Amino acid sequence: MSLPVKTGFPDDVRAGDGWTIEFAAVDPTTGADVSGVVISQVNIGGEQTGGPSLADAQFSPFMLVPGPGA
Amino acid sequence: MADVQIKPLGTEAAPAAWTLPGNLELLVKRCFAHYDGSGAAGAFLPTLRVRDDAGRNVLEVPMDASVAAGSSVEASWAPFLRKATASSSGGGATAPSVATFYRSTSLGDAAQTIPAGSDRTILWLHAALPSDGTITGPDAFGNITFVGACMTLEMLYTQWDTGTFARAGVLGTNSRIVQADAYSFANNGAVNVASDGVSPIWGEQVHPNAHLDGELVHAFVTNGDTVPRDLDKAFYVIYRWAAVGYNGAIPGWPQ
Repeated sequence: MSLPVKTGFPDDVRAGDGWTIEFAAVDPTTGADVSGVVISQVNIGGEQTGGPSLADAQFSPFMLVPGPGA
Repeated sequence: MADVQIKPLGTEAAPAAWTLPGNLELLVKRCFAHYDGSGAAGAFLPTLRVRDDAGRNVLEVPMDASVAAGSSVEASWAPFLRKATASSSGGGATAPSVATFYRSTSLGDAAQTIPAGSDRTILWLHAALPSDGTITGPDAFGNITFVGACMTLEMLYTQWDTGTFARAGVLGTNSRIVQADAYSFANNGAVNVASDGVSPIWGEQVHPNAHLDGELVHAFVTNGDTVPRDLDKAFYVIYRWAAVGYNGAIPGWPQ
């Protein structure tokens, strides 16, 4: 079983077109990325302030839209 | 617009990045990810990065504690969460520091005789003090000292010899909320035996308080009878929370 870890961040983080939210594993001493760590179950919650409606949207590699000839 | 929940990634090696698609604007309120460190090359800090459309770091939020290689964690980021505060003398730990001052005939101590119609500072024969030094005493006058600004709950329990007479326990000296020297009236003037006819009753006083650095409190009792009475047992328990920056007013905290 995984242990929960939590921390805060600013309450006014606005991200727009082309911005990136990244989940990294960082070496505590050097600050460099640590290899071999696998990320899953990513879930981002927020208030949509612009763009097409995304309520409960899914974006992922496995959500492929069949093409016209499929 | 409405709150949305986005699950943008599958299973990816860290760093795993999601780029907001065209036109989307998002006020980020929370982020979650599972970190599987079973194959990690070393200890790591789960870290959330936000980059702008030019690839520049806008925000980087590491977790408080590192995760050992081989371990896995569920990492959450949200504005209402807080980093753990380092433990230090007088500083910020969630758990209060606790001090207990006491004397008890049940523990073999002699009773403290209170002369007729008199007040007396309770002579504490024992003190269990917090190891961080945030509560000290008692001194020769029975005073207890608070080190560092703090919020407290102070609880005084007293038990006297059997009889029907006026008596009280009092928490005195400095008080930032309830007035100083507020006399407890629980059982004042009542028989000192509970409804079962056997058990001695306790006088109790619970005092919410706040203190500036160096302030004192002391506990005393008053015997309203015309003859001396024995204070058999007394316990004074203090829960103290650090409140750095407290200004001495009646506290809604932080001020």
